[in-house]
Amino acid sequence: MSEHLIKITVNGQVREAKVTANLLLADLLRDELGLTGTKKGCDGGECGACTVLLDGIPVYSCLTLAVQADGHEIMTIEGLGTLEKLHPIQEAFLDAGAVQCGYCSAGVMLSTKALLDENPQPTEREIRQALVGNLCRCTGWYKIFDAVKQAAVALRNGVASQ
Amino acid sequence: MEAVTKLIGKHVRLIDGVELVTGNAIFGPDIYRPGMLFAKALRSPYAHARIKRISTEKAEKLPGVKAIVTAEDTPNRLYGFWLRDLPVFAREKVRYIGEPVAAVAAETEDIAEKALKLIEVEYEELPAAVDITESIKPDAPIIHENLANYEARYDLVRYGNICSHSTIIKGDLEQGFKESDYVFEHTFRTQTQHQAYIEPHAATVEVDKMGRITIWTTTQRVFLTREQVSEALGIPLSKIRVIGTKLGGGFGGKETLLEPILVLLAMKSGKPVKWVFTREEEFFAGRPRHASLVRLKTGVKKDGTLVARKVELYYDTGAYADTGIGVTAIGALFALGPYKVQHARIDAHCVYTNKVVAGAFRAYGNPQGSFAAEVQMDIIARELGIDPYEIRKKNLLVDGDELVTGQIVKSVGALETLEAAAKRADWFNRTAGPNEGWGMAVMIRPCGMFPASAVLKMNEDGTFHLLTGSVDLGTGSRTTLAMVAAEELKVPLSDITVVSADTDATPYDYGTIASRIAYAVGPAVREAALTLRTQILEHAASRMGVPVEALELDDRKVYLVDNPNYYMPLSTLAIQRPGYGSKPFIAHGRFIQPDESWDKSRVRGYPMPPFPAYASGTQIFKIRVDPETGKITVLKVIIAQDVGKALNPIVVEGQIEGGFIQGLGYALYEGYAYDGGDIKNPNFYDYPIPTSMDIPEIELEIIEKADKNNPYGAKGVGEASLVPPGPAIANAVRDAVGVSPTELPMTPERIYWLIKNKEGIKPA
Repeated sequence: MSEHLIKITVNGQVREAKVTANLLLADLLRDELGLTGTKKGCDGGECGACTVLLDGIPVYSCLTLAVQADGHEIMTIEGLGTLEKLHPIQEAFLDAGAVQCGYCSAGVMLSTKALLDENPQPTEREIRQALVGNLCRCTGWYKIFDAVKQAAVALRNGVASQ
Repeated sequence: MEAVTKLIGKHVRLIDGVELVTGNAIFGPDIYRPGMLFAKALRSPYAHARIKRISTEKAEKLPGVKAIVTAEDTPNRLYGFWLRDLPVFAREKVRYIGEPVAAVAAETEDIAEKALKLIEVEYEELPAAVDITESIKPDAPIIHENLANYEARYDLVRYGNICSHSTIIKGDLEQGFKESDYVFEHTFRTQTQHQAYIEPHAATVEVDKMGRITIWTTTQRVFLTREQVSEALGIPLSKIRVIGTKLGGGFGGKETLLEPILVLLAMKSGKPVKWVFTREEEFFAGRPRHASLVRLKTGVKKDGTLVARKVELYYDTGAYADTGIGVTAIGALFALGPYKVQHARIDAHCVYTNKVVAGAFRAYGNPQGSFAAEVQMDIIARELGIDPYEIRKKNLLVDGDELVTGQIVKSVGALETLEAAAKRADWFNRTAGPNEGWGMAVMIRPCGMFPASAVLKMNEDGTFHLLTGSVDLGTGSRTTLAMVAAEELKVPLSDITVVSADTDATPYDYGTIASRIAYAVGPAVREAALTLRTQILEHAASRMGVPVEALELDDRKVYLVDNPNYYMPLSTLAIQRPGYGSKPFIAHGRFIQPDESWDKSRVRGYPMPPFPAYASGTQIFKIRVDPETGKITVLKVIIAQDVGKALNPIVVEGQIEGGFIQGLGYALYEGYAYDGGDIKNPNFYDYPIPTSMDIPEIELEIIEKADKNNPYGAKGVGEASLVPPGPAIANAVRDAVGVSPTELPMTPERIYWLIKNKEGIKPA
């Protein structure tokens, strides 16, 4: 198995790692970099819990090799806001009751960021389509839709975000 | 009981919300221990087979493999909640595809996987019973030869492949049928449904040099897991500590599962061992909902009064009983539906098959029987020319009526939910276009039972720690319990730190199941808070030199009612120093289920006590059926649910909505696809759960009919909304196309052939 030295910018910080070709990005983030906010929920590409943003685009980190992320920018949930200042999406999810167990939430919030960055005023249908790659079993989705709409309003009103 | 409350009844953000949204919460798969190994299990490829030989020699030689365990490394013990029928590893024979036969701990998951392939197992296949109908035949292959000798804490009626047969008899059934004007008979079937929590089972076990075992695990019931590990391995409770990690969904499916095997691996390897289930393993080795067969025979008067009901329920519990015996009993209790029936006989059977072990899943026991009862109710209504609302109203259980077991119900809100839902739907003016229809379903189920305790202590700075054995599996229970403490101590919510789910540090709790945390743990917390409040006031009285009655505690201060400027802050009262007259500030509370009277002579083989509270709900659906594809489109949904009192409304709504969507999946497309004992769809591609695109618009009405036992009037919330979608949609299909589905899920293929059969067209 070949080994590679890679450089990935994770949440604004350049990280170097020596990885085998078959190391998943999800495992690099979780096991090597200690960023366990990105979750694993299935055997590959079925649930979206591992969603991260690669150059702003939502990808399944369980279907991305670490070497594929070499030279790219990754945002994980840890980079969305800080403990002192949550991102408006995180605030909206808490206010709207859109977080129950929280296991799917990182993936859903990052998919939401990608949506709202591209489409600041999405219709309900557009919201549903943007999130169809993330499974949630607890909420029934209603309060997630509320949260996304609330976050969209907050962002449009220029509430400060990272 | 309508006191003015500051927190109770208000929308409150989760106290661990920030932790969750920033990715900082530690879930089961996020536990890392120095030097830890990784576990994998070898599972049976046969539904029923004798194990002739196991050889782990080759696997043990693989570099990186640190321990391998099989039945040989396990004390010859069986464990199980109701019935001790479950071994840690299959011993002598395997009883389902997926049963663990061996396990490996290795330096990486990859090495563990490779090691599995090197373990040699020789099987001799046996005939298997893979369906309820096969298992109950007199000449069926016997799955548990020693069933009669298994230990049980209850008097169970068991024979053949039936591990529990619960009977409830009321009145005189034959007489009832004689008095009936019409008799209806139908058979119904429901499928195996997986909880499909997004977080898989995950546990890590570490054994210290004194042999003390620490288990971090995804369990809803830390004390039960401790007890079952002890029972399975013969290790004293005091040597085992179970810590419930932040749970990524449970819905009943996360009780004791991988811990006993992990303990063996940790003990043998001398290292911490971690195991995270694959999604495929979840389907084969989890604890999904029982599939069922229900035969319902009902006698009615021509005015729609239910006179007699005979119910035969069969629950497919898979290869081992697990919670099946409880599921069967609760299923029996509400097999009549939410109705009063003068004469009834219910026979509920917990049946072994050579398939995955079924277990607890939200609303357990109910969805199966309610589907049958509510679908037949509509068939009866239609035949008699009575409106579905009217026939239900006529027969519904109301306060003062007796359940089939003779228990008198004191606060059941089923009728209120029926009226509210019908009003919202404008039921009597409902219209439907071609292939459109309306359907309704009502349900009642027990909630809030079993003991709970809580401990509250004041810290040296005047803040508080609340200790609870309960697990928050996403229900917001830590927040709700903190709200109760903060409310009664009259301090800000942020002054309460919740410590939960640690068998060493927190007091006993029965577990996060059965819609019971707010109902049972809530009062325990309240009791502790009120006791602590008294301790604080008494201490303040002695330090301030005034009588206790003259003082009040509010907003972190104890003050003189007549002169609030004379006060002492909690932070001062809490000081632990010489010269301050310091005292310990600690209190506990206990919830003991109130005694309910019932008629024990009516039941046999029925290991359940009467329950203290009842949750109820009604749902009304409007749907359209596409006759060319059989696809059902949901056009309108009205949900009315009685919650007693919504302690944290946003959490309550979330529970109802989440349960409803699981019920929708159960009704329309979820289900194990079996080929004999093999599961053909063990992943999220082929076992679809509702996605963001599948969510219908709903109208939700929360009804607060206070429970008389709970200090806030609260009843259980978490489960009720899962039950009505199946039958309500089936009834809407009947309304739309004139034929009632009697099988779940109502896939397009099934509905298509239902319609075609009615037209006399059969599949080729």
